[in-house]
Amino acid sequence: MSGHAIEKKSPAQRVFYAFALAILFTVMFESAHLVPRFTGGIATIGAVGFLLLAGTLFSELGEIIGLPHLTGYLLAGIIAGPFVLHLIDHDTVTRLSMVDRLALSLIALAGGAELKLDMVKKGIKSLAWATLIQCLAGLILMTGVFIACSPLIPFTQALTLMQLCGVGLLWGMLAITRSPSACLGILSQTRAEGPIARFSLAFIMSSDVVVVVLLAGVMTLARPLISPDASFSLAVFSTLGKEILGSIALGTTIGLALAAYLHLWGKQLLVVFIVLGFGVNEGINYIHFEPLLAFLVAGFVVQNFSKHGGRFLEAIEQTGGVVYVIFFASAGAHLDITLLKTLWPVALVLCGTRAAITYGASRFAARLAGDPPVVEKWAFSGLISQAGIALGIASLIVREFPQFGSGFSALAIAAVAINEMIGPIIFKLALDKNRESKSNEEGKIDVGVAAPPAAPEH
Amino acid sequence: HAVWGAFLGTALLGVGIGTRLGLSDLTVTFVEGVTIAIFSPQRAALRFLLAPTERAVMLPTLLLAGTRLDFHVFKSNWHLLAIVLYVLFARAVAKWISGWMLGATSPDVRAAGGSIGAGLLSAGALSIAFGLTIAMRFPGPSGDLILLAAALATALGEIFAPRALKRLLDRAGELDQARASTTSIPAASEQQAHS
Repeated sequence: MSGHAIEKKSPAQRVFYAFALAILFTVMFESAHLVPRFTGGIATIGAVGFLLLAGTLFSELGEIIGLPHLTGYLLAGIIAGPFVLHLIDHDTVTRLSMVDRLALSLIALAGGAELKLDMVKKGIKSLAWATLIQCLAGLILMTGVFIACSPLIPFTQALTLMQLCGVGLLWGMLAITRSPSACLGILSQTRAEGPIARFSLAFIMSSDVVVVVLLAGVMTLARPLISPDASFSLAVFSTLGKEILGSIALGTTIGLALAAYLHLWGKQLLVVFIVLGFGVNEGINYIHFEPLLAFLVAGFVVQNFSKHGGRFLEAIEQTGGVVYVIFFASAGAHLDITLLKTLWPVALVLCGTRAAITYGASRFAARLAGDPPVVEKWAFSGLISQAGIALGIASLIVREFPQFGSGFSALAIAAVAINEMIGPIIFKLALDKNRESKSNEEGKIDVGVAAPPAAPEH
Repeated sequence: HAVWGAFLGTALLGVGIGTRLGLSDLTVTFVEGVTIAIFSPQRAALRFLLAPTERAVMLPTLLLAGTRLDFHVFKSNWHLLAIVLYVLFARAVAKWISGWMLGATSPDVRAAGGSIGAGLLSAGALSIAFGLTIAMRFPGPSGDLILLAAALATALGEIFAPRALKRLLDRAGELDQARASTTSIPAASEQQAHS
């Protein structure tokens, strides 16, 4: 991550931010009251503006207690969204998902650009062990936990044991997905550099590819368990292979084209990102390739096979700064918090055991790989967060298996909501505690501030 | 990022809330800008930050306005052309009068001579933006007419105003001053290089 000083804010500034936030919510609330039904493009524009301001202000206020900015953006979306204050309605929240495409493209490009070849080569053993242990342990153990918790889960009551095993496998699959967006969001805010940051970034970015492959395998295994009349078929792997290879090839081409553009022209990168995020993204989806993988590879190519990696990354960070606020705030608005009211006990148990398994697997894998003690102890911290990818997989599972669709979806949303809120806090805490976060430098914000000097005695 | 977020957020929120409450979104965002210009201690820095975005914003607006121009509105309604010409004429007269009043009240301006009003005829992207907003808010012959009038006023302004302004500045001797100051800068830097 590029180095960048973070200014310390005075108490007067914080008070001003709180006041501005109150005014903002009041204005939005009153206008929603005066004109209740207001939908369409202009409503979306207003919602984007509101979320940008509210997310920024929430994140500035959250800094006081050391919360990551990401949590502030999420909170803004949750509070303003259709499940709490209804300042933004469902239709507008759906329209806001357009921003997700741009944000995920930037996240994937940045993720790939952060992966330097020498860093990957050095950490390949660590990555390999971590991927193997986390995926195996996560999948098998979370399947077992899900089956054990089934008496607490309403939609599993009518399932046979075989069906329960199938659904458990799918839940295990969901449990091993991570959040590249949350990881990059935290690293972008903290400008963290160090073994925990490097490991988390490399693991989370590479695990996406693994998750895509594993998902196909798990769905193939689960299908005959859940639907007795369904047959076991390996045809899906052929399609998956084409998808992965095609995405890598396309990503390489995009990366080379970007490198050439940066070399020959290098201006108006904002326009380039918008074209990639909306236009090229749509094209990649149309030919049934994986945009996240393609852009990851593109970013990797620009960083490692051209001289413009640093400038490219800086441009993404500048653009991403504003885009991420909208992305995470709209993710917060999407979160059905009302589901948490009914499902929080079982969701909490599942999330808690997932965190424990992640921690244990992380320590075991680090020991096998001979990683430094700080990685052994803290590498798990970046792996707790879940966000869009997990929800995407949940909705894919729901489409494939409509028999238990809504129940599974509700539980998945509740669990992802908890992980999405807790995960970034744990990650930032780990980075701050191990002094990898630039916000721990002298004169900057720190959770444990020194006491003010004593007043002179007269 | 926070500054850009605040800027964009304020502008977009202004558009959203303004439209929701039936206000003109252009006016709302313009007032936001004026408020920043008056009250913000960092107005110069903010202006510097926003300056590069002008082309990126204005060029698509002008393109959109150009695609919306509809001259067919005159085919069945020739009297509308008369209205547009009258509006342009009235604008030119108003500018001439304001130029005359400026000359009457300010000795510096008087030195530039007559037809100051011609120099004030320029109408830029903001006029087009207003015309486009009205055309989109009130689709039909009225909105199209206003956009046409704005576009023609801008075109005429671009033809006459720069030349007139240049003549005025020349007459007032301000162009010579500007030329003198630009030639002295290389001389001063050469002196510095030799010492």
